[in-house]
Order: sequence, then structure tokens, then C-alpha cells
Amino acid sequence: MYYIPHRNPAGGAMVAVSGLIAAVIAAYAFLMPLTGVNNTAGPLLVILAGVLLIIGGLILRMAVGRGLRITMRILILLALAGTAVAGLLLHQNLIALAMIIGLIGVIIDIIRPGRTAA
Amino acid sequence: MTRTRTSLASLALIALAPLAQAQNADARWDGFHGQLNAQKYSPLTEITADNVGQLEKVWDYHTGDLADGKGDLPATVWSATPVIANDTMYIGTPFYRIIALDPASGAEKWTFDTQSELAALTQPALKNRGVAYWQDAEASGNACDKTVYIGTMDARLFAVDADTGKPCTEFADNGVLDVNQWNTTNDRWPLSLLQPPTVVGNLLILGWAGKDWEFEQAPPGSVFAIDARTGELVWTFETLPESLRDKSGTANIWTAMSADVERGLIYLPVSSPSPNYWGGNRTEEAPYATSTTALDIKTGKVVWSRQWVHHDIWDYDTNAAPTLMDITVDGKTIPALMQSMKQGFLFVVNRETGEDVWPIEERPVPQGDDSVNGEVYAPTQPFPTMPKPLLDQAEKPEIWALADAVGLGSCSRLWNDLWYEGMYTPPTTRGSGAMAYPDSAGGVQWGGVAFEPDSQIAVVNTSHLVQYIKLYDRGAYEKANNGSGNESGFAPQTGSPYGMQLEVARNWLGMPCWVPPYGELVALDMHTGEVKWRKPVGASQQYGFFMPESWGSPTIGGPAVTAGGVIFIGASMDAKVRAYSLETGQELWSDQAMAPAVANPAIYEYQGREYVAFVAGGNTILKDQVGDQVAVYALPRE
Repeated sequence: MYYIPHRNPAGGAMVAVSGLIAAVIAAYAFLMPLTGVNNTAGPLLVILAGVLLIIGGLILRMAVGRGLRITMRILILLALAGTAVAGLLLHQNLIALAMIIGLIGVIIDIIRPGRTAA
Repeated sequence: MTRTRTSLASLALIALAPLAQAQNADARWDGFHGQLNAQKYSPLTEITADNVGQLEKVWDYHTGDLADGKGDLPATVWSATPVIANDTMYIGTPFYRIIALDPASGAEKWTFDTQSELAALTQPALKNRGVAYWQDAEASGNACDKTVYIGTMDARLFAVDADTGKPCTEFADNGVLDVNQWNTTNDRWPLSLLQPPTVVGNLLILGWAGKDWEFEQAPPGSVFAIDARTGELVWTFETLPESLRDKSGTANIWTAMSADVERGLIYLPVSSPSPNYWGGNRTEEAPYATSTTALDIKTGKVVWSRQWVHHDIWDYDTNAAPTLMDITVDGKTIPALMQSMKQGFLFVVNRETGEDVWPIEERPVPQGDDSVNGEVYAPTQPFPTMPKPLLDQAEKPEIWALADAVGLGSCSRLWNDLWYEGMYTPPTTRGSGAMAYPDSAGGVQWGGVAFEPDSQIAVVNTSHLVQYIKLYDRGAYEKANNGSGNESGFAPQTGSPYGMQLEVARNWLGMPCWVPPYGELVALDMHTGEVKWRKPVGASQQYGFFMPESWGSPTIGGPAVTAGGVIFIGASMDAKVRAYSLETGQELWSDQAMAPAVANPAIYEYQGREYVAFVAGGNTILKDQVGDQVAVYALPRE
């Protein structure tokens, strides 16, 4: 008997969605006039962070190794926190709210136990 | 009978119609600072502290005249407070165009293009502070009874008819006055007309701008009074004594002036002589340099003058029109004048005589460290006792621990390497130089002081900035120079023994090395000169990230106040425009503008509705964000 770690698609997907939302909002803030942060480096940094969160979420969704999953969770939590702070400092509070979705995703990924199979 | 009554009523309505459409004559905003007394005050009361939160943008207008400096054109720096007169809003642009707009809708009435060269002839950027308006008191019904003027960086003054935008052919050479014809001493660059002329009666009083950091010898600071209709020279005033004019220069008036028409006086805020940071070429007295000087409007003769910095080697130009105010001190009404300064000083004197309202003391100041050849330092400088200085200049500003930690101790190392013995520590060649606090971009800038006459509250925004100045002898300068910017970087002071470097004290990430706040809004009770309240103003911004509002922002531009108990101001890095309570300093309203609104707001009434106009043009001293927006706000229509 051996373990096949359960692939929990919801957690990783939520992380990816939060990254997507952050990137879209940041792109809007960068491109649209009168956002107060248009044409500045801050939103570009958030777009980059959003893309990394999407990639991180997808990796988390597919990862099978325990070590990789833990590593990804830590990296994603750091990215979520940093992106939330960046969103607040850019006065784009929706970005910070989107990070809560990602946080819930990580929590789901943590608390749902792996399933024994075969 | 009924018909007759109706007809009479109709006639009365027809007769009153122009009045109904006209602006409120008591609420003039037909000059750069609203009024000639530079109070930036509106008696309008529709917008109050209670309802200003409902303010909404009713129109905005984009001139299209902007450049970020990345293409062929230099960046634009636009600080033009709109002028509202003749049922029209007039604005000047940094491409040296005049645009006439409908004050209620922003609809374009006409435009006039000077076709001026768009080159950084004397400034690092294309700059404009707006237009001037003149109306002939004895109008004959001819064209140009009402005239709008705009100056250019290449020293030409254009006059156009206020109704049509057509050139005034009676004025100078078919509507164009070449002011550079009077640039006859050290004419290294044109006398740039970036600030609109000050209109007093039928005279236009002209100052000009240049580059006093570039050369030891520069054009000396002449002021020209010209006839508003013909452009003929009426009188000239020289700010520098004859003996200094060819070996120094500037001490020009590059900012707005104020005037007391009743007393027949115009007040000149005179800047420092050239070069900015070394005075070995100008060791004799130059009593009008860095002064407020009152002239007889008709003759240009000096009535009184007060020098605010003796032998200025810090670029502490007197940089704003003094605010004229009648104040009651100890039960006595005083015709006063308040002169704000880059040092964060507010000098208050009697505007008839120039005498102190509160004592202004001559105090000993630091002398040189013997590293600078030829320099002769002033032993004392004037310090106001009331109001107290807006910045504490007694000691080195405290290092901001966070910036120091992020900079791995770079701020501490810089602090240790900078010479500072308090206010007026002179420039040096040693170490990293001398700390400049307040610096030439700090304290109060050209927005000056606003004043609410009923409550006798003065309002002023002040920046807290720390820079450092280092002088280099010629050989060292050529090695060290790696370019210059606006209010920072290297400047050659060609002809003098020393080039100079002026830098903001920051760590590698751009964080200021000193503790916040970086800018404040201050209200003063002018019965006593005491601070009524002071609050951080705006928010600083770096890479788009807004810093906490408790840190405030450096500001360029200034406030306007209303009888409704509201202060309006843009001026901050975060490009927001704001309203504050005059009584408490509480922020009541804000909106996002396209760029920092570095001009004073204009407040006007048109067709019975009160409007507040901001020009969001940006200034590279604050950050590299440019704008071309005129944003106008009013209360919603019921």
C-alpha cells in the first residue's frame, strides 16, 4: 500500500484566480488615466506578481510531492501577502481582497487531507 | 397698460441679462493669485465646509500641450492658475498657447498659438504659469479694450484681443513685444517670460526667469513696466547696483508680484544674485537681492525694501508674491504684508513702511570652513520671531531609521559626512558638502500664503526637504559632473571657481533619509501670529505606491481659501486635489487629477454657480508625471 497524495484542484485554482484578478486590476490601474498609479512601476510589479501567482496556483494544483507542495504553499503565501500590501499601497483595495481568495485557496489545500489509495 | 408693464419688465430683464450672466464682481479671479493682494481668497459662500464633500467634477479640458521629455520635446511643467474674466476662462499652456474656455462648460471659444520655439532655452523644461488679463477702464469699444497676454521662453510677450484671440496690432510690433531688446548686459540667454505680467492699472509689470545656476555672469534683474495697450516702456527698475550688474547678474523677479493700488505700491519678490552658491564675485552690498521691495507704481522708485537673506549663497530666492492683509494685532489694525520664503520663514511687515509687525531679529549665523576661496559671509541674517519658522532649523533633521536600515546605514554615513551648524550653514568643498535644510525647493514655494480676511487666518503649505550642496573646484567638477536635473544635480556656475552639486538626501531606493512628515498645511491666527493648526498634506508617492497620509507630501503650488470656510489645494505628489476645513484642518474632500496640480486653484462664480478650477500640469521637482488637464468642480445642481 502506498500513498497517492490527493490533488486538490480547488485550492490551486483559487490561488490562480486571485492572481488573475490582481493582474487584471493592476493592468487597468496602469492603463487607465486618473487611477493615480497609471504609467507607474507599482502596477507592473503587481501584474508580475499576479502572473507568478497564476503559475504558482497551477503548480500547486498539479504538484504531487509533499516537499514541493509545502514549498509552493510558503512561496504563495509570501506572494499573497506582498501583493496585498502592494495593492493597498496602490490604493487598489480590490487587489488586497483578491488575495483573500488566494489565501482561502491555500488554506483549503492545507486542511483537506491527502487520500490513501491503492 | 398691462402691455406697457410687460414691455418695461422685458426691457428691465434685457438690461439685467448681461448682469445675470456676468461674473460676481466681488469675487474676482482675474490674476495669477486671484487678486492683486495675492490673498487667493474668494468671498463666495455656496460651497461650504458642510457641503464640499458633495463636490463633483462638472467638466475637464485637456489642452494637448504636454510632453514627458522622452521624445523630441523637453518635459512640460505647467503651473498656470486660470484667469477668469470677461465671462471667459483664459489659460496659458507650456507650448505657449492661449486657450479661452466657457467657464460653465469648458467649451472652447478660441485659441491662439504664439508659434514659439519649444526648446529648453533657459529652463530644463517647457514652463508656463499662465496668462494676464487687462481691461481698459476707459474702454472705447475698440478691439483690445480687453487684452490677454502670454509670455514665452524666448522672451516675447504676445497681446491678443480677449474676445476674439486676434493679435492686438497696437501693441508693440503687431501684438508682439520683444523683451529681449532690453537684455543688454551679460545676455547669455533670453529673458524668459514664464510668469504672466502683473497688471496694475494700465501698466504691465514684467519680471523674467533665467538660469542663475549656470553662469557667474548673467543678465541683471531688471523689472520693466510697460503700457498695457501699446507695449511702450514706461519705467525700468534695476535690482542690482551698477557696480555688480556686469560681474554678477539675476536677482530677478521670476514669480508673481502683488500690489496695493490704493497706496500706489507694487511689491517685488526679488531672487538671489548669480551664481547661486558662490558669492565671491559679489561681495559688496546688493540690498535689493533676496528681498521684498516696494516700488511706486507710477515711477518705479523704491519706497522701502527689506532684505531677507544677506549675501545669499543658498538660492533662497524670494519666490512668491507677498500676501497683503489687514490684520488686527493688540487691537490695532495694521496694513501688513506677509512674505513667505523657501527657508520656511514668514516675514510680516507693515506694507506702507516695511517696518516690523513682530520683531525681526538679526542673529549671528555660521561662517565658512575656509574651504571656499573668495567668499565673504554675512555675519548675521534676519530671523522672524513671529510667526515661528515653519521648520525647525536649529539642528540636523532626525534620520529616519527605516530609510537608514533599508539603505544599510547609508543615511547615517551621509549625515555624518554633511556639515550643518543650523540655518545658513554655507556651502563647502569638503566631505559630501553642507546640508541644505530647508533647501531651495523646500519651505514655501511660489504658491505663497492664502488669507481669509474675516477670521484673519493665513494658510500656507510647506515642504520638509533635506538636500546637500557641495562645491567643486574646476578640475574636480569636470570629473564629478554627471548631468543635472530640475532643482537637483550638477550645475557649472561657469566663470566662477566652483561648480556645484545639489542632491536630495535619499537612500538607494529613493526613500528620504529624514523623518516624515514631508509636507504640511499650516493655518496661522494673524491676530497673534500663532499656529492655529498644522496637518500633513497630501501623500508622497514612489513607483506609484502611496505612502501613509500621515507622512504628508512635499508640495509645489499653493492654497486658495473661501468665505465658506474651505481651503482648496492640489500641490502634492499623489496628484490629488483636496478641500480642507479652514477652522480645523480636517480633510473634507478629494479627487484624483491627471498629474500634481502645482498651480493655486482658481475659485469663481459664473451664472450664479460657484466653481473651483485646478490645473493638473505636474512638475519634475515632485515627480516625473506631466498633465494637460483643467478640472473644474461644483456642487450638484438641485
